Amino acid sequence: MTDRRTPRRVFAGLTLALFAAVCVAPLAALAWRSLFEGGAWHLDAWRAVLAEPRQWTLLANSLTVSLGTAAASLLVGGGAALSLQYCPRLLRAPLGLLLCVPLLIPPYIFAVAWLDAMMRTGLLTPQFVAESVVSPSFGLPSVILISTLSYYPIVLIFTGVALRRFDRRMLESARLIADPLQTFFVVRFPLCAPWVFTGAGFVFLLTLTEYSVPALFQVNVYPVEIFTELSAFHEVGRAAALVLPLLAAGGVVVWAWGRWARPRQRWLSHSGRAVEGMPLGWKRTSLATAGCLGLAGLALGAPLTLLAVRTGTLAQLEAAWSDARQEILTSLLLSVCAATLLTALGFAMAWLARDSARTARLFHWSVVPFLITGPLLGTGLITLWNHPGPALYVFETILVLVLACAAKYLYFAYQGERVALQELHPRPLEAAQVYDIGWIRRGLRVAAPMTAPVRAAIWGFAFILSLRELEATAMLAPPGITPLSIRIHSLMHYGPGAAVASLCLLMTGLLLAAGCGTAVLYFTCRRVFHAYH
Amino acid sequence: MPIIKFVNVTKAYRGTPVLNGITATLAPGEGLCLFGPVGAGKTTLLRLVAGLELPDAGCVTVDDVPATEGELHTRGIGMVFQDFALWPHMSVEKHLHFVLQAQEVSREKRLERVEQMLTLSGLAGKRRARPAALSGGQQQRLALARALIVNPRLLLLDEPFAHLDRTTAQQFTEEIMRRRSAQHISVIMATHQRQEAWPIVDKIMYMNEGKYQVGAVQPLR
Repeated sequence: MTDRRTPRRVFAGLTLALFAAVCVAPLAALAWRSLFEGGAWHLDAWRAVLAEPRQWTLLANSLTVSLGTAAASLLVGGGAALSLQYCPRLLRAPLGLLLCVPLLIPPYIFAVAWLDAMMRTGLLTPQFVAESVVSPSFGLPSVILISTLSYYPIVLIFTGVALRRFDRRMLESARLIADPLQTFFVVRFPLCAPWVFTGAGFVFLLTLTEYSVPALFQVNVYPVEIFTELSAFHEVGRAAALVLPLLAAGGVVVWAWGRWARPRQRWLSHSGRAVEGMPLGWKRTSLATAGCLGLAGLALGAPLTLLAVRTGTLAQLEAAWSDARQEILTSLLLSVCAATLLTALGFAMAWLARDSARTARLFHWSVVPFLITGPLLGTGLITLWNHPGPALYVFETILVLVLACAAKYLYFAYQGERVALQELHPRPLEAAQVYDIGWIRRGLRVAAPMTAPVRAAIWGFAFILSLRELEATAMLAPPGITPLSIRIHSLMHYGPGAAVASLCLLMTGLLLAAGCGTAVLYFTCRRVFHAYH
Repeated sequence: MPIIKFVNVTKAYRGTPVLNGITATLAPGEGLCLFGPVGAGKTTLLRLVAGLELPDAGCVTVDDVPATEGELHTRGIGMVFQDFALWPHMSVEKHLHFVLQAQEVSREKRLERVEQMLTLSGLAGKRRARPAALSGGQQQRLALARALIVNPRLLLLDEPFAHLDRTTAQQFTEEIMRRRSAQHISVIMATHQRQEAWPIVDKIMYMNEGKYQVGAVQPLR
């Protein structure tokens, strides 16, 4: 007689093995390479790096950029979400979608567009790229501004979700006894705050590990320093030591989210009747609409126009398309493989973690590959796979890029799946248990279809993130296998130009198509599976 | 002078009429029971009185002022929502303190009234619990306590005793009756169980499929 727990153990074993291969092994390889040298373990390089006085400048720059962007995104994204509520009903959905589009486009594309404009208008001299002479007083605000225009949609989305989930009766019961200001500060804000600050936390993490924008504006933050240590000096020990402050800062944010925000997010369930914006009169409605349109113009319209102007002619765009066809195909293949791996592994981990707090705690560590920055993760993968034998097959093919994207974004896929499963109504699963349906079948036949729309969204976002991925893959791309993002990265180091602008436009087109595809996939899944969400 | 006047009130949701030309009055200190099956429009009528919704046609006035005019919180209305509408981030005690703070009640009086209400509602042992930690009956008691603690002039009750045991429902009924006689508060109570409303109300409005009929309670007892 077969033990009923055997399939579950096999499933758990496979999931843990894959988790270890994707997440743990590159980190272990990295730790080994940075700490084990000359036949002995030592921390000399780490001590030397962390004792340098310039660490304070790096830390200050990194925190200024991350906190500044998070705070600015909080204001811009939160304000936009509130303004949307007061826009005419017919315009809300298209305006909301328009305001979310900048999230699809990687910040380095915006940086290229604005940088080009600044150089043309004389705000920057063309020599600055070569001479590295941008003053911090110019660079820091620019990085914060461009990162904010790229990441504010995260806060917008989280605030929008909170407002949609807000049961209007909670607000009405307060309005009967308190004035609007008290109602806002005592009822509305505390209930929405966990969602809004979660969005800001995501922005903080993304900016903390962002390499491309600070590198283009020559602001020395940890990811730039790490990339320099690796690419210019091949100092893995020093680069690994530099990641410690990032891990500490990112760890605090993740810990605070788990302890403070996540339990409070459940205060707003989606069973409520959404709050409608109160009619404010046409003047304020027009102001809200104009504000949203202005923001969309600044965040999306202006940079795309700048890129289109720089590209010049349609012939240039066609030439770029012909030249970059191979890179585009590589990018698409990479994105499909990485998104599929991320979605499958994320679901398996979330299903396993659902029944075991210990496993859930273990999987929280999947945030580490994201926090150590792309270049260092790439180095870990090089250390792991650059060996003669079967490993070399991984290292010399697109597989190594797939593993890099999977390792970097696994935490987000896992968390998305986990939240979806946590919010699943327990009764259908209990009913399946009563009818003696096995653990794996319950997951695959009951839980998975009920959360299918979330999975579709995760697949779509994983596809988009892998398509635009630069930091982790830049160190890794094997000869002859170059994704589009790396092609742009290679060219933009020679300064913004027509070729870079046209490639950026191509990338933007691909990302917008992927965004539309994700939306179609999500809504199709919702309709097909009559899902709970 | 009636405290509430319904003049030819009509309301429809997505083309389906819910209220159809309701005309009625309620005097100060009077109690009205809205009785009818689910979907008859009882909750909608309560929300119109509270000023939370606008009628499609006709007018609802409170003290001769249209219900949607002016600030909602200055009109002395207490309301128990059908699904309680409790604030999930506040403890039981904080719920009661917040509504009194909003009414600018002094700290000493606040503490005294909160204690009284906690005792009346039987929630003294749960003062630090949040709504998620309360049973359905306890949540309903909190919703009733929140509505009563502000000493409203007009009390709107939407299925207020649906989740309560008979003893607790009796205690709250007595408290509402005491306040009606002592403070002349008016009560509108929506229910589909007539018996629980009898001690509290004087008139009954039977509602069904957009039609209505108003009568005195006495002959039906």
